[in-house]
Amino acid sequence: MSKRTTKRTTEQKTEWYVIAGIVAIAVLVVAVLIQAGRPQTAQTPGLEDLPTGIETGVTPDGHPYRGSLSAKVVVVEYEDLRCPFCRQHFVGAEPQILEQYVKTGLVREESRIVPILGSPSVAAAEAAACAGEQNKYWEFRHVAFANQPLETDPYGRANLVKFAEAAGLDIGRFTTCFDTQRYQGEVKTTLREAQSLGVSSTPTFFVNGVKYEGAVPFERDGGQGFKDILDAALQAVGAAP
Amino acid sequence: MQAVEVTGTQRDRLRWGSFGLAVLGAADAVYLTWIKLSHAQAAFCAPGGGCDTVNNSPYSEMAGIPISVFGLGVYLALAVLLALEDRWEFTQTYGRLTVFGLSLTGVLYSAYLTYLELFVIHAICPYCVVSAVLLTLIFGLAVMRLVWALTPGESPPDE
Repeated sequence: MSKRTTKRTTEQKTEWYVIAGIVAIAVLVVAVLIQAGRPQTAQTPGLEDLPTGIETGVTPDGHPYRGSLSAKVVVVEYEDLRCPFCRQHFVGAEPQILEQYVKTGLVREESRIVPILGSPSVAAAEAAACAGEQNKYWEFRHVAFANQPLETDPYGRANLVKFAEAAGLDIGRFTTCFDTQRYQGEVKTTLREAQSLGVSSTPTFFVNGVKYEGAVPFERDGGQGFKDILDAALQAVGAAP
Repeated sequence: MQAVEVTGTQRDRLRWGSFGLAVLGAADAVYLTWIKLSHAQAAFCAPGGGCDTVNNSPYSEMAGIPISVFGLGVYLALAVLLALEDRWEFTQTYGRLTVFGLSLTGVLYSAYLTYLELFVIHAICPYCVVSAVLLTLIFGLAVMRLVWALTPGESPPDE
């Protein structure tokens, strides 16, 4: 082997070492980025900011509601507890709708959980129904959204039980209800009902029967924010404030 | 091992092809950033669909900065490195290696983001898929350029 060939081989060896080093650095950088980009886990799922002073209950057809049963405008929300965009509504427009329209008795909010994001969604929906059995539906929903998504498996059984605990449920009754899938049938029925209404994504809202898709902001330039939608609906039924 | 003859023209084609892909990637990242910051509805995406879900998930930001801004930074860096590869001494010597390392980092992170879309967020954002494909192509070209540069028997006519 000539000196020149030996030199070239050594150079190539070095270059491959450099490439291996670059690959190692790239893997390390990505690992750091993944760690840094993980959503922060909430300390404790809580009810600290659950809106209070609002009447809650179950409609005659079995769906949880907030507000007055005699309100002339009804917002029916089809949501999935796992859906990030539903959470966007939960932290975005919802608090203002509750404060300005629901608390004042003008609007009633009804929630229907449609599990469209796989088996953890179904588990979360069944767990929420079990919470409803103890009249804690809104508390459970609040905790579930407040802590979504904490980690890769936010709605595994352990977390759902943790949420139930934070929502103030009787854990013995909750786990019996959840483990026996007591509300499996009801959850499926709600999903079928949503599909028959053309609900293909969450959140989907029906304001007095008119469909709106996505996390509609409370106010939007050029109209069609929730404020405009609700004001128009109230005007239409002659109940404008 | 059979020697691979790579001409200067071929090499330029690969470089400018990569540059074109990086520019497309930058445009895609700008659009994703605009959707994120303006809360606008993405074109060709149903309201409340994959774009919205992915772009509003807690994984779409890092330290309050949209992930697409980091993507934009990577694409711009790649575009500059590729465009000026034969202008500076540093890029002449290390340009290919830097593009390789940067695009590899991008591909690995894109793979993680795609995993999140499929198995955690359960929604697909087409513009994110476009970005992942572009980065993969840039990485593929970077590997080709690097391997050809290291292949014994190569007779680079431009050196």
